[in-house]
Amino acid sequence: MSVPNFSVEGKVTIVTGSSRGIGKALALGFAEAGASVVLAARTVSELEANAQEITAKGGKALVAPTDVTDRAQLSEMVQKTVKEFGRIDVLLNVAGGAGDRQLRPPLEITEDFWDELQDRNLKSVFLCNQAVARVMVEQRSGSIINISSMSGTKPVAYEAAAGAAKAGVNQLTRALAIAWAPFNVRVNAIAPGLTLTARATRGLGPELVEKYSKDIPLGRAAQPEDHLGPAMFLASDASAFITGIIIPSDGGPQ
Amino acid sequence: MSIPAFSLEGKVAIVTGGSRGIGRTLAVGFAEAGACVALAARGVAELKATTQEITAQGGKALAVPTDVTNSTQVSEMVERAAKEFGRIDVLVNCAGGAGRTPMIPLLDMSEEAWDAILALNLKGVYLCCRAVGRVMVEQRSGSIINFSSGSATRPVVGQTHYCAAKAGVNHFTRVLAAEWGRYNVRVNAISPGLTATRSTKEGLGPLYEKYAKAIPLGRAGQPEDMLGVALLLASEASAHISGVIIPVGGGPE
Repeated sequence: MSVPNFSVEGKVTIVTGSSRGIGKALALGFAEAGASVVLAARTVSELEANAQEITAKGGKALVAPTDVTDRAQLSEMVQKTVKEFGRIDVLLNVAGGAGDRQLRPPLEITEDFWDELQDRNLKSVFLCNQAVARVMVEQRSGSIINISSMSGTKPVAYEAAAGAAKAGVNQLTRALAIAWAPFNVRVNAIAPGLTLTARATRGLGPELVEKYSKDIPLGRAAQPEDHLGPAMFLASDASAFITGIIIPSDGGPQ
Repeated sequence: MSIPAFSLEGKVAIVTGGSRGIGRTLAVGFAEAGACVALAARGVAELKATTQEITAQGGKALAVPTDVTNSTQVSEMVERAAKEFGRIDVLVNCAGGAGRTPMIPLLDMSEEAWDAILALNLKGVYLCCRAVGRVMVEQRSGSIINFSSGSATRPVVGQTHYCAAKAGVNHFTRVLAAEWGRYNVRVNAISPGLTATRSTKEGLGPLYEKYAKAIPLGRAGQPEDMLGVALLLASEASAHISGVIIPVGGGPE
């Protein structure tokens, strides 16, 4: 019997939201593990800095400045990837987030804020899945990993907009998994809990970070790198029979 | 940044139900991944055969005949494993199953049938977690992997007993994870869908093919399909993951 293959060596991996935070950590981690990484996000300077960090260590990186809510730009991202690497093996949809990460009482949510969150957290995931899956379905292979959130299942009053979008990501993940299973394209999600990115710590403030961290059974909030394990698992052959699932990565039930 | 390690090198694992089916595959796979494995099950001959298979391949294994529904035997299982290997890092509660007659309409279900399924599938998990947990809590480290089933969430007509037991395993897993997180002991579950083991095929008969056709990825699971997620949950690669139930069924649960 062979030990399952957890390797992502040589896998062409698009990572959206890879300029900062969880996306950056996953992109760097995958590159270090031998994947060829396509860095997709809006801020070119940050993407280029990350690409340099990757290539300095001998890894492969391609910068693809992309606004994930723009269909045309997504199409360019896909074309650029296929032109450079010939295929797409993994898509990590990390772009998203609760905007300024500030908690917002629902009566104070403006229509613009609501639309922005839905576009960036749910619609973009749908558009990205669609753009990349077209290539993967043709290949008859691929693994898509959507980064959801604990807020998609645990109701937080002042995260209503983001929570609704992430719940949508969860169900979208499951439906797409069924649709594309016949083509050997797997679609799964990871639902991080509180993760100490610069944006999260800035938005919540030290008191709330400490308060929320105390509720976590394993005693601490996540570092972005903590989500690398489940991401590599879902991207690799070790999860070949797994599709349509959501893996919480949150330190325990809260 | 360090790449997550999916290795079990130097770790000690107890696998209940380790003589056959999924448990056997995990025991052999864990040994190949570097773990010392104590196999616990009732069938002595099968237990010895699997243990020999592991040692023949250069791995370390100990056969511990155990009925997981018997608290004395479970205590002895833990004592023997701890004595042989010095510590316990991983517990896989794979002992379980729906038995020879997995489908019984409730009105025909005897108390004996109910008790037997609940004892094997839910109480056995409690007994093993309690006995091994004592060691892990003392160590301030450990990973427990319970086996659930698609039956835990799907309404399978004729399986009220087995479905209730597995649903119980799911919530037990989450509560125990919340309780033992403070001791750095993680508790998770794997939920297989239809899996091609001898006992599943025998139990389901003609229903087996019907269920297999409905699976999105186009086939029933093999015991080997469970190994990847088991190694994820047993290893440091899942250090921030606890209280989760991971379906391995070729589609969403």
